[in-house]
Amino acid sequence: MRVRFWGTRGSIPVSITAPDVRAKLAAVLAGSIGHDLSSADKITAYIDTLGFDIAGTFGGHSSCVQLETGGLEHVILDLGSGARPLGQSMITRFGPGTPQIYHVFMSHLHWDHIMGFPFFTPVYIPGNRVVIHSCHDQVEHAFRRQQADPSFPVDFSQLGANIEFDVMPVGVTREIAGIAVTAKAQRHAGGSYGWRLEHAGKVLVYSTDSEHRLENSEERKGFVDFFRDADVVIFDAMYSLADAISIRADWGHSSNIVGVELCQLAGVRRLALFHHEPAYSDAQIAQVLAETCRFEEIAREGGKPLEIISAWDGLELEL
Amino acid sequence: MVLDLSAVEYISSVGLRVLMLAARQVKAQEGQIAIAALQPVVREVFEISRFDLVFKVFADIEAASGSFS
Repeated sequence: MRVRFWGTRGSIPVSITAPDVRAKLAAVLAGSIGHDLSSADKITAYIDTLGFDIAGTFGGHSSCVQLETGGLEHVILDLGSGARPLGQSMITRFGPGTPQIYHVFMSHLHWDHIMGFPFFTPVYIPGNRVVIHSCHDQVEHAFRRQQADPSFPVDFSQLGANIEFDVMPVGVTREIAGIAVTAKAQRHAGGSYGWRLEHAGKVLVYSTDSEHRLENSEERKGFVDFFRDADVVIFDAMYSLADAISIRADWGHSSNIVGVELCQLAGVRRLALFHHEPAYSDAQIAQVLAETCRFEEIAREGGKPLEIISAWDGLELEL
Repeated sequence: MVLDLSAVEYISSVGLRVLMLAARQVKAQEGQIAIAALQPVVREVFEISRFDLVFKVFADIEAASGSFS
């Protein structure tokens, strides 16, 4: 299985600004003093020495992740603003004249997770089939309302693709697009659902917009079982632990600390920090990643290492 | 209130939550709370979790006690 991240930012899309770009350029140029940059290869080699927060960016699209299994049907997790470039990539890859089938699994129906749908080009093309799986019984209402006048110029009824809504049960594993899919209820305003997807011996868990109370042993065990032996867990690490349990308690999000603890308890192989705080710069996200790696070392206590990554728009992971 | 954590070798998110709840109770009673004598690893966990921004942390009990007005 291959995971592609199209949107990794929480709550609202953001973009780096002109001052951000200028600061990156200044850092690159300052660091280049004394380096031999007399050829394209040497310039590339120098760029490769720079941190991702300097030479790249974590990106700013809201939640959207693609899972590829090699099957003919496409699998998507959430339709945040990252669904726009995802849709364009599918048109580029398959052309507008070849009907495609898309299965979308929704964590919940908050705006940042559905806002990419009206810009997901495949929904305008007759012959395409888009199945939106959700544990929220209001899923169809949420998608129709988003495109209703006066919020959007194209009404949902004008979409050319065949769009279906599938309200799924919680905790019941179903086979969809060749993948064993299970939903788990999470703590978030209005409720959210994590997804465990298993295919060919590999396991991906998508758990965003979820607040945790690990002192509740039953709740903790439920998530440890849900994450158990996953190859990758995509985890809402929006806030610091201090913020998540004080000024932002009950906001429905979690922290890097809790992500590491749950993944270590569950024997997870790789933790992908996700749903980045929109106010964070690239440097701040990079700092959170470095600190999370250090916390993993501290908390490991002789257990097997947990690989930590910070998801970014455009990242691809092979499971 | 001063919490002497000199014998604490590690603290998890559950332990940190207990500290946060204690701080709320102290504040509700118009008291003050300070943390003293963190071992290096626990201090790191405080910094990574940003608890060092929420609590007053001191090198020892005397310094913590002396911080109260």
